Amino acid sequence: MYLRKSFLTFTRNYNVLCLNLIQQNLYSYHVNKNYVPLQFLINTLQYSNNSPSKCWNCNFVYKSDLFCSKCKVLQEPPENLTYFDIIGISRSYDVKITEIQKKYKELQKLLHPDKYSTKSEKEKQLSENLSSLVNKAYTTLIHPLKRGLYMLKLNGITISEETDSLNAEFLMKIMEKNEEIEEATNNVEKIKKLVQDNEIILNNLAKKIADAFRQEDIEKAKSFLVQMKYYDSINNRLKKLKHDLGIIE
Amino acid sequence: MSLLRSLPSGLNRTTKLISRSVPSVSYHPNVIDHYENPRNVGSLDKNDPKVGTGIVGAPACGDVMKLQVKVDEQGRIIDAKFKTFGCGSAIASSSLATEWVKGKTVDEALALKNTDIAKELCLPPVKLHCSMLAEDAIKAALSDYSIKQKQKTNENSNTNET
Repeated sequence: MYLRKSFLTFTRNYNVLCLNLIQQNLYSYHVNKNYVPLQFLINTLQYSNNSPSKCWNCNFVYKSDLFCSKCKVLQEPPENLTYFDIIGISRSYDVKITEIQKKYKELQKLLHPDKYSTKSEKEKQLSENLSSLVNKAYTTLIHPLKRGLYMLKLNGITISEETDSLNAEFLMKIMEKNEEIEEATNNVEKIKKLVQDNEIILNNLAKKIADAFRQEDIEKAKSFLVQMKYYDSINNRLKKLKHDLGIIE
Repeated sequence: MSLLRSLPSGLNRTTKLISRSVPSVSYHPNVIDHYENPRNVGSLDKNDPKVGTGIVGAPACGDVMKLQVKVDEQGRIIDAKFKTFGCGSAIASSSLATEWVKGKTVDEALALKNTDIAKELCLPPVKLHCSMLAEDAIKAALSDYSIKQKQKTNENSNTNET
């Protein structure tokens, strides 16, 4: 009862602010229907596009909303949403991390399964699906490499598993970097320096990738993302080393 | 061996804890054997005309592999070394590759297939590209060697002419 009441006040108070936001976020597909369908969404959620959206609980025909506007229960999301739609930001490599974090928290406040522990099984299930979807979207979009690779995927491009031996000079550089880390294993100062250097490289690459996506040069973005993958592996190695040495920054 | 030394001492304990809590597909004993006791880790002098160096990378996972071979006058591989920064399967694949090419002729080594490596290590489909990396590393090393040899013969013929 309390939840329901608080939810009603919430809808009233934040009608313009929040619900509009949610509508744009999870439901911007109404504006633009040219999204690539995502396989996992089709697998996990069954949603019929042809029939008008009816509340599964009370059969009320509702318009694009997370909740039925009549009986206020949680609804299934449409199937072809991108992670950008889910979080509610425009589809671009340039994102504001603080904006993603803020919108992510707002969505989880509404959708987290903890809020549905006293609700029906179906609503629990829906909140679990939606919540994990929001989590996936968040972790993908917040990470410069994952976000870039995801954008390639939306453009129908994946990085092949083929061996890359064309750019020997670049690979030599990566090899040397790895050897440098190997030698510096117990040298805290050296590791810190290497972490800084690597972060600078990653940031520069992120800028180049953003430029490439802005110019819609997908191939160029891909080649920089491949480079970023190698430096990301180095970054993960350094992080692990830092953790093992107990370096906290 | 230095690859192993870089592993933290507490790793064993944590991996045990993790493996107990998370159901996961474990590596085949052959992979673990090569991972824990990698053969032929190290470097050869890449400026030596008898040494061929191959560096390859896997763009999908960010692994890098360096494989070097030393070939004698008879065209037989007398030494092989590798250095791999990547997953266990990539390390095991390159370790096995160096073991196999030693004592083989250049042509025999070129005939080595990634499927043989994958079969020996029982690699699952998602890790097949690691064995492909090892095969390509052998090829790259041998092609580097043959380029060096050609350059040498060219230089020789040039000096003979003058």
